[in-house]
Amino acid sequence: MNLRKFLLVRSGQIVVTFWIILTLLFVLFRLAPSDPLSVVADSLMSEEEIQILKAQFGLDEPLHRQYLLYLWNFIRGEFGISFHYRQPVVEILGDRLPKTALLFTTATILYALAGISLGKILAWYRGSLLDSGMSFLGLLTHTFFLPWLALLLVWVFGYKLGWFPLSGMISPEIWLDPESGFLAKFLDVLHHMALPMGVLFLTHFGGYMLVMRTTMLETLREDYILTARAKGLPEKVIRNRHAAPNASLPVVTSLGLSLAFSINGGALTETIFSWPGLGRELVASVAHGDYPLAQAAFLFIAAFVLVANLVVDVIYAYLDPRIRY
Amino acid sequence: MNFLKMGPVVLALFMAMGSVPSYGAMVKVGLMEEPKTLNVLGAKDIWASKVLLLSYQRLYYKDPSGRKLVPWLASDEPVWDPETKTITFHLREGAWDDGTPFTSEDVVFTAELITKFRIPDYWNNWNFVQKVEALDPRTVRLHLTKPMATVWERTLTSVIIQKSRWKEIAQRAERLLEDNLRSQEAAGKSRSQAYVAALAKPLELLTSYPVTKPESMGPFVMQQWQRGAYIHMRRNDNFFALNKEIDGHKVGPHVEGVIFKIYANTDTAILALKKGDIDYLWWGIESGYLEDLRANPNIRIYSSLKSGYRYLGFNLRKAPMNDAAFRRAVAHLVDKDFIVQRILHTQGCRLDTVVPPTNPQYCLHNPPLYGNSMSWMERVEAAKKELKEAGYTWEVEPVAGEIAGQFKKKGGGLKLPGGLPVPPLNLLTPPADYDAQRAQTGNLIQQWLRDFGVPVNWRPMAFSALVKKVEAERDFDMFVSGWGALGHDPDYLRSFFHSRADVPEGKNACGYRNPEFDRIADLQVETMDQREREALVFKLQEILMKDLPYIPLYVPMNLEAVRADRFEGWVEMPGGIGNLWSFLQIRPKKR
Repeated sequence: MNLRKFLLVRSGQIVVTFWIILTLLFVLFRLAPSDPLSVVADSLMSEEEIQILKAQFGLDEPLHRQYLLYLWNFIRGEFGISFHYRQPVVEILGDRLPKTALLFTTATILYALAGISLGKILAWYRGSLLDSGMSFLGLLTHTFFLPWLALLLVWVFGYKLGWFPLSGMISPEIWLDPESGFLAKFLDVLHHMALPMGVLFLTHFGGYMLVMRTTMLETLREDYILTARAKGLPEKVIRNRHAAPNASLPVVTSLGLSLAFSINGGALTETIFSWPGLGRELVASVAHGDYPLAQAAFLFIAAFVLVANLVVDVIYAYLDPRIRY
Repeated sequence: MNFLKMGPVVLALFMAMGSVPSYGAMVKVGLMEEPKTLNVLGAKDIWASKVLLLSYQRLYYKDPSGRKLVPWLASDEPVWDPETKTITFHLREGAWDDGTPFTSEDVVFTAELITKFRIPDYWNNWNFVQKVEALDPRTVRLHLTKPMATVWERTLTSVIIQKSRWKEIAQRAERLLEDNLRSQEAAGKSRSQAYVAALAKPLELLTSYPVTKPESMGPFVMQQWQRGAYIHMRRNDNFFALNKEIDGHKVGPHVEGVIFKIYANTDTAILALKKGDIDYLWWGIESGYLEDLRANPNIRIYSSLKSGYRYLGFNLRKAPMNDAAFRRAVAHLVDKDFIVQRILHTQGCRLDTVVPPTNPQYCLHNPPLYGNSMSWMERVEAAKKELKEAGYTWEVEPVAGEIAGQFKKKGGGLKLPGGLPVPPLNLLTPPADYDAQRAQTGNLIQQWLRDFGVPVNWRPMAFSALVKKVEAERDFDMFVSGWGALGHDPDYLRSFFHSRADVPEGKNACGYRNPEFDRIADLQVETMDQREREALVFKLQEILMKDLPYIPLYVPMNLEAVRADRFEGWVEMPGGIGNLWSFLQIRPKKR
């Protein structure tokens, strides 16, 4: 199968998968044991006011009509108005998504790069004290309960030592100061990112490091590494140019999917650090029965992951000449 | 390896960034969520109401004691004329933050917008107002369709919006309404049905209209809303009461502005308060934090009873809950003092009627006290007596022990007067992570009733699921729930217990029906004389406490914390220090 045909087949599969997700989401939200009106309606509202609200949100229509309207709106790119924010869903997602992407994509790149680099070194010095110590540390931090670690870091570095802000993304004191320039604001955001990124780094780098270490150890046993040594190539070149690129193939798959999933953020991290991102919003919208917002957020994540899968497949073919579609 | 060498450099860079300048006499207030919207017509969440409280003002406002209304945008007491069914009052001189004069046209516009578009949350308070007339720029007259006592506490305390700001969007909504109405009528709907159907889109236009800088007649004006981070409001130099005396209170504000900071979890918000990142956390604090906060000399705790309550509700559509004797027996068994002691850790008080004590004007002074000052054994005997007299029997009759809550012999197999066994009953509560007190209370009541021989199963469930079961599906036997901040006007009794509200989505979830109650409830709301109305409201409570569709349980305490070293002058009102008066009175503490 050539690449063009492969892409066409996979795109068709993606469309069908997406339609199934679309339908499942519709059904699941309607089956959820919460009533969206119960949160919107006030205790003193009359029945007539509640009926008006129902009509306003389209909740007075029968389910099949709601479904058809939902599909039709999706095709037109209409995601509706959030029940809670009374604001177009697209605007809300557009506001939250960059904030989540900034924190989680940066963190993912950082911990993946660190994990890959460390894994490569540990495999090279296998059996050494560095290897044992770092492998143990990687396992330990990988098993930390994220909320506990996050609160601990907030308490130590935010409250006790005062090195970092406790939470949030920006300091009003800096952003309201007319003398603050771009650099001050940029540094302020970085300062706020430090603790949540630290938590994400500590809980995730170990996974990449250990996977990379294992695949690197396997690669180092390959014949072509022996050949490279026989040719008299320097050790650094053998490690970085010959072994590492091949060993990193499984890690690339994992990194690709992690980057795709990073847009959904982490509800726990975002809640503890009051980071105004998509993950927190997603959980809140589900809890509140805010169908339009929750559905759109899930659809967006699903679309992103499906496309990312396709991209990873294609990248794989470029990285590994043995793979052909 | 090069990447790894960068690590310490990056860390050092992060740490070097943090010098934050101090920001004058700005009071920094922590919120646990962001307002959903700043469109006052669409705002339904408490976070928006806290922020908008400082911008949108009302004709009359509660004085700090919370017992009387003082003229606020109005300049004098409203005059009721029973002959013409009109209320007349005058307005203060003042201007909106953009300098536009505040006139009676703003009041007329607000009233017409609410009544024409039936704006949810507001319309209920205005739907009996036939016409609002601007007699002159400073005089307003309300024409009522009938006397309605809620006009004082609800209609006259509604917010007023600026005509010039909303005129254009209102005109668009009106055109949309007319178009929709024509097409609905063409489709063969009756006028009233067509009107309700035609409202959906214009209402959406009005309530979804994006407002990032609400107009202000209040002490502060919106400056900037950084989504997810903070809201900055500065002092309004056009504020009509600035440095004036109103009802004997010298009014500020004495601070340059307010910054609302958003925290998504309580632990971080408490740390922020301790660190001095915020001056006041506008959210009730759980009693578990008290010891730690009290140990900090810079933090002061304010405690006041909440203006709502928690109750045990029954589904009166099912046996045995449809039997008042059964409900009274349960009332004898439920030891409210025990709940307040052991579950609330004394941070609250028992409640014996359906109007909280924070509303002394309407709270029944001498309600029947089921099981009060009785020993546990006496309580159990009183409950048994109620049931036996009504014809209930047990397979194993319970015998109370001497220690509260204990039984020498646990009961079993309670039978209805006809001899059929009492079916297994569910008792719904929110989960402990939503409200530990309500969940624990449900657990405790389950234990007492089970040991007494009533087959009860406590079922904690997500709060939204509980609301759906109780209010939409009516699929429950008993539930522990609560009312948050109930207003001062007691007409909510009519909403909660009138037989007209026993309809799908109606608030009479219990299915209580009593023609005598309905009659008095309808009468009290049309009684404009306050003394006469008080007597009727007391009568309603007497009926309810005899019939017991609810067993009122307790009123929790609202615990709030402020930085005592930064600002002083917080005003304690029923419900807490988070009120307009506080923001008008606080000033930087002199060092």
